Amino acid sequence: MTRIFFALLLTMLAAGAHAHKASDSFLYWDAANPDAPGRLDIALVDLARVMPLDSNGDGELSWGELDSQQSDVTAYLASQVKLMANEAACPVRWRLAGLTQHSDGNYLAMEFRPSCPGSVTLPAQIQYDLFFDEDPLHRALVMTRVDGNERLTVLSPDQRSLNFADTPSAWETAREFVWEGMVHLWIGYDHMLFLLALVLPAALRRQDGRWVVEDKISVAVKDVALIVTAFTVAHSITLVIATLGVVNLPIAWVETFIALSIVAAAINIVWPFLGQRRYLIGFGFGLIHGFGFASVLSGFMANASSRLVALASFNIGVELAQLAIVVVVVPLIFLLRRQWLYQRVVLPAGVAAIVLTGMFWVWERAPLASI
Amino acid sequence: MMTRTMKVLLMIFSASSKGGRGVCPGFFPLILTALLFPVTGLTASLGPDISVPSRDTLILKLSDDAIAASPSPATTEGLSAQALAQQVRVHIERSRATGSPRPLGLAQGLLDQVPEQRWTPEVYLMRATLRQRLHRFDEAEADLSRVLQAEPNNAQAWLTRYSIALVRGDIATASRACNELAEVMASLLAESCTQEVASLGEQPEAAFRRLRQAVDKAPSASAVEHDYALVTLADMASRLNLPSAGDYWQQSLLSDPGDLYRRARYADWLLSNNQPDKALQITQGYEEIDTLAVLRAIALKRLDDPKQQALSEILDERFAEARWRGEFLHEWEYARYLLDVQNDSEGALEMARANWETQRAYPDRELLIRAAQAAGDQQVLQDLGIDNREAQPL
Repeated sequence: MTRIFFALLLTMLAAGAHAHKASDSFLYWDAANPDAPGRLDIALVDLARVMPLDSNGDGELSWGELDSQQSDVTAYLASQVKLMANEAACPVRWRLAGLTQHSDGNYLAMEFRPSCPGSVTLPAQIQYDLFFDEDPLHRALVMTRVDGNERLTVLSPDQRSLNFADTPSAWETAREFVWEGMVHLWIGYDHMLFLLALVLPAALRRQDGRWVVEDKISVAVKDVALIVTAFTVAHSITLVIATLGVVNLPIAWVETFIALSIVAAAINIVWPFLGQRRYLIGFGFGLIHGFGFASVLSGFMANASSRLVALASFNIGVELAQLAIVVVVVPLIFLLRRQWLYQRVVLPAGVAAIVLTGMFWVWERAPLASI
Repeated sequence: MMTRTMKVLLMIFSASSKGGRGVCPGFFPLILTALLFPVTGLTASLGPDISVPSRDTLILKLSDDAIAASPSPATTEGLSAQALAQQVRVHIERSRATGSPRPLGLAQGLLDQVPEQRWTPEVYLMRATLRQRLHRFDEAEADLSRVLQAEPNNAQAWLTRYSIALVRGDIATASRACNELAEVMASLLAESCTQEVASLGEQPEAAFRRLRQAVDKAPSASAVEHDYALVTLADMASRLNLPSAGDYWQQSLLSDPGDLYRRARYADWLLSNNQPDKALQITQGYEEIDTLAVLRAIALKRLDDPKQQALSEILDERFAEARWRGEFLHEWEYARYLLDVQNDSEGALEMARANWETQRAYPDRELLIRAAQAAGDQQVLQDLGIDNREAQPL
């Protein structure tokens, strides 16, 4: 406790008791949740100092008075608080959300929704100049949620901007999304099983009720290359259109259909009801698989600095993973194709396993729980 | 990287289990539910609740001092140094009267808008006072040096230097400043500081007696000087544990009921003299002032009053916001709260030590001793030259 004196003034000033805090605003931003608006709480006392809010001049501010000046308030805030992406300000929609309380009284709660231009998904930085000119002791207390953790920071006249997250460079984004594409294909067994079901007949196929062994590896490789290319082209098309939001399918049905495609492709090995031109099957079902990839990708997109880099990299990752599978599987089945054990046990058992797994997934995923 | 991989796995599990039926949801959905459970909490919005009041709800009184009479930036164009000093003084005075630090920020804003080339010693003196209020003592000292270089007879500057030195426990500097003040103006004011410094030495009782006599012998001294002497006597009497300390505090509060410092010191004296009900009375209606709110919370706790819960919640929020802001001016208050309301002696000691870094006046020392005793920290007590057995509880 301190006391101070203006002994030579007419009144003596002895002070030392501290009241509540100085001027603070509260800014909340959930970086991981692009759908949630940001929020800025500003003390009514501070706002009243910079704007003539008391329209009827009765010395009291009512909610109605404030609400009717919403456009002035939002225009002022928009000029003082900016959300930036790639060094350009994003257009922001401000909304008067209501009244809230902090430890020193009433605050106006404002919601803001930035819509950043171009391929960028989210603002990377906030620039805050509110009240600093009038009151250099003003602070913005910022709470951001990054990776589920709440992070507290303070903005001041010396530190007027905050990076919400360290924006990854295009190269970092590319590396990250290539890896995620690969991981997804390998651990998301459904795409892998479907691909396997299409590739297996390249060395040993069922034709006219009997097993036919492929003699030439060049033919087998060409066959596989065609299938993989068709599958890739198809799922790339739908991945792109779904990610860009052109078409959106209900994910439960997409997942169910992917499971069905596995069953169909596996049955087609022993009973080629879809025909021998498996690249067409790969293309047709590949379209659906693309929507599946898109739903996974959208989960990571919030962190991406650029959608296009992320999208392309993710796709490249998926292709690389496919290639790796082909490189391992094709030589293996080509070597084993004449073995009795492979023809009579491994292949039929494998097919049965794939069919059963696919059917189990169909049952599990079909959105018919309420029926 | 670990988190990233976890997220990838979660995504994939969730992709492969969408639409799982309730009867036999499978293994992955179970894991997923367990893993995602904390994640679902994340959708909760940040910040305290928002309400939309009815249109005629009064949400702010604009006549409040905090808003009224604050000069708009436009008026600083061509502002004379004298007018600038005057406006800064108005803000500092408002901050002192309301206990709110907000006007201090506005004072700083005003100062920033007028280039320093135009400043006079008076303006630097105001900035020194502002910095003193913000506990930026070194910066305040620098301004005072500037003022005293230009105006060696500026009594106000010597007095401000004296106050800062006293708060910092720098008795030598305080003594020098007081001597300079006495040179400039031999008065009751100079006598007050002389005896206050003396009371920190070998014979505090004698110093107290001398000041009391000086007050009696100076009926013609100004009211301001009398008032100053009265507060100094109250301070000295508290340090000496004289029973008359209460009377001095009461008297000084009566002479200026709006002064928050003496109200707080009186409330504190009442608490340490087992009169929490009286402390409650004089802190009523002052819950917005942290110092008084903390003392009130202590009184409520001593009286086992059910209202203590609500006040503690308010104080918790205030201190949390102050910690978030980082520039903590409330270390004494927070330490006191932790020690006497929350019974957190370790936390209190930490805060009391932080407070001791910048402020070393009597209440700061008393609090540090009590926190160290409660936490059983002999080292702190030794450093203060205290034998644990003879230390007096406040």
